[in-house]
Amino acid sequence: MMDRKWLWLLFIGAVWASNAWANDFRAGQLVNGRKQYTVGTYPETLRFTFTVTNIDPALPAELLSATAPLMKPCTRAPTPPLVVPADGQVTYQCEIELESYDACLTLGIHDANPVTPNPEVSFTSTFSIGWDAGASQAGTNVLCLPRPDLFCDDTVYLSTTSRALDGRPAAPSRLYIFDPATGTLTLQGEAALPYNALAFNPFDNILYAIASDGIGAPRFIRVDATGASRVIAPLDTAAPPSALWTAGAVLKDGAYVGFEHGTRRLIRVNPTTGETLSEQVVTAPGDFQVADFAVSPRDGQLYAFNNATQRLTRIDPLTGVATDHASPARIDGRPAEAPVMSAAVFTRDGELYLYGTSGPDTRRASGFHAVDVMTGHLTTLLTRPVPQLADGAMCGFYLWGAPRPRPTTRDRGFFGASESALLECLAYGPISLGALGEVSTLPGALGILWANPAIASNNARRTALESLKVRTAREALTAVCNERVFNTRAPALSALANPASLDPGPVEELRQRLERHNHAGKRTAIPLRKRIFAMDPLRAMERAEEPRF
Amino acid sequence: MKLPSQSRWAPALLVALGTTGACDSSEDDLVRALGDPVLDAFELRLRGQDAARYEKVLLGMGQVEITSFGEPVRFEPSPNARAMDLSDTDHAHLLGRFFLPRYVKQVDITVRLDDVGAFKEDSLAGLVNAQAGTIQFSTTRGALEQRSRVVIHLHLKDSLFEGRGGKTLLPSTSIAH
Repeated sequence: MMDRKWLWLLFIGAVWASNAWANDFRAGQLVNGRKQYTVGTYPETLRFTFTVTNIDPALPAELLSATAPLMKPCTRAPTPPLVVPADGQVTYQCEIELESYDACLTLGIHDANPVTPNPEVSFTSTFSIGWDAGASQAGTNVLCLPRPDLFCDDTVYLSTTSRALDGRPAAPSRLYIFDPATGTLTLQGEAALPYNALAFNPFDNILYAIASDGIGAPRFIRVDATGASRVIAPLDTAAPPSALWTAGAVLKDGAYVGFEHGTRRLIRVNPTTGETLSEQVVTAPGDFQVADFAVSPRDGQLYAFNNATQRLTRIDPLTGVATDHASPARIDGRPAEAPVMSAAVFTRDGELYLYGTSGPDTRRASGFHAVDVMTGHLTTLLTRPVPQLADGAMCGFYLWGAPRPRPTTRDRGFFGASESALLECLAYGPISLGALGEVSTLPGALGILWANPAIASNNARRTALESLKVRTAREALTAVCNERVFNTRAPALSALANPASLDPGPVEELRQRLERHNHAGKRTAIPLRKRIFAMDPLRAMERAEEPRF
Repeated sequence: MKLPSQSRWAPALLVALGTTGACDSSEDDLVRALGDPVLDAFELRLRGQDAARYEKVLLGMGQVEITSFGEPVRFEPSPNARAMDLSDTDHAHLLGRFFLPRYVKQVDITVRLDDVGAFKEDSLAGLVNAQAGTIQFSTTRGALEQRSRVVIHLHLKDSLFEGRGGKTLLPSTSIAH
């Protein structure tokens, strides 16, 4: 047995040696209080907060450097080198004024992110710190939009609000974009006040809502693509100030229509002026609890889920008469378990979708459902945990001459994770990648999409040319699939035409062009009729077969 | 004031204690480098931290650039960097080895992760947008010589954020030697 003295010496040595592993500091960074921020109006001030935290609970440590290359004009005081006490923190603030959209893009040209500016991230700010035994880094992304405009596509907008125990809104509302393919909610921004009754107006591509906190007089507001709100006018209504407006939609005649839960009032509003056009009480045969409704592009009627009777219901916006479906809704062929639907959206194709919760009290889950308007039954498309939702909105009809969004594209990750999208792409026949070969099978296509540019699946290191082939093939296959699945024309693959010689210069140029193309339309929603409601990149990786060029 | 460890025998001590079992065993490059009288080999590793609820975070190496005052430094990537599960926080994945001439006292390291990865959280899989996954730092020969390696710790909880169609990677890192 080892002598106790030796064991003790080894223990002390190990503890001493572990100092070399210690991460003395951690860098942190936020822009306007967030990790990702969207700018829609100019000029706008961006407030960057950089933090340096000594994470050692016992010892002070010396910070030697703190740099943020994009923030050179800012003075950082106190200036390193400096000693930060144990558990202590140094905070630097830096404000930059974004005068214009172009100024924002210029920052993207000079940042450390090689693919910015692009339609999803305009620039990445990197904050780096250094000390004698290490370094730390933290980043933020900023997206600048030329204008805070929305476009008429199948984007599902969901707003949230937190509620106090008495049901009144407790905090400002947040605007999210819901991605039905992945079930993710992407925060667009936060308003200055709580709102509900969100509606998309196809006449000006702007969201409208009613801000009501149950105490003060309600106000008619607009919400832009960054989630920011602006009051248009106080809402002229006979409903008491304690009323809570829950549902909103824009009719085909351009009027906004809102519904108040307690008094069942249905109000029509001119969205431009906020002027009330008419107000009436909804007449329903029995109990009536509607959290949201949507206008059918086919018959102009308002469709909703009556949470009181658990049936699909239809409201005539002119007469205010509500008619429940003849039978209670079934979800996935079974009787529904106390469903509460909080959001309703109609696509321009006339398909109705509901977002809400259902299930027994112990296992309630949120789900996105397709609705058969004829039968009144629901089909669950996906189930995910989500924040407390207030309302939903979508562009329900397209107006001739209105600005169009960019043609839809998705990156290689999307096709590498959505089996249904990739199968649809391959269904048109083999895909020719010129000198890089041909793809005709699902494992072969997945093999290209998930190929690593540095290392092959047999652990062989790729040469520079092999790496370029992999990166180019991935983008070329993605571009072809974008054309086949979303009808978005792909750039010509002429640089790959000659199998005998692949000139790296033109091939790299093509790769970059393809990459930009495949990312250009990522903000445009995938049409819901494509029925892409599942993604599994891990399963796809397992099925991938290494490509041979 | 905290002082950095300058110990050269600390690695040997840790080996004796059996604490380096997480490292990779392919030593051919190292052997080759040791046979070279003018080059010193150093490992570059990537390790996940604060994995929280993640059951898997798969990221691949895209490109590594190591320079000294603008001059490129030889880097040989490791097969392990093809697909690294960073949710396994006990493992420091070997990205590769770089070889420094004796006169080189400082290096600038840029690690670009491949632009798309994947994760699994609460039994649900999704994509990681790693386009902003560039990690840059500088280090000195003195620091590297402590253990002949540099480890990038990627703090997953503070690096992955909700984005369109999946998670967006904004690396929050700390570098240890």
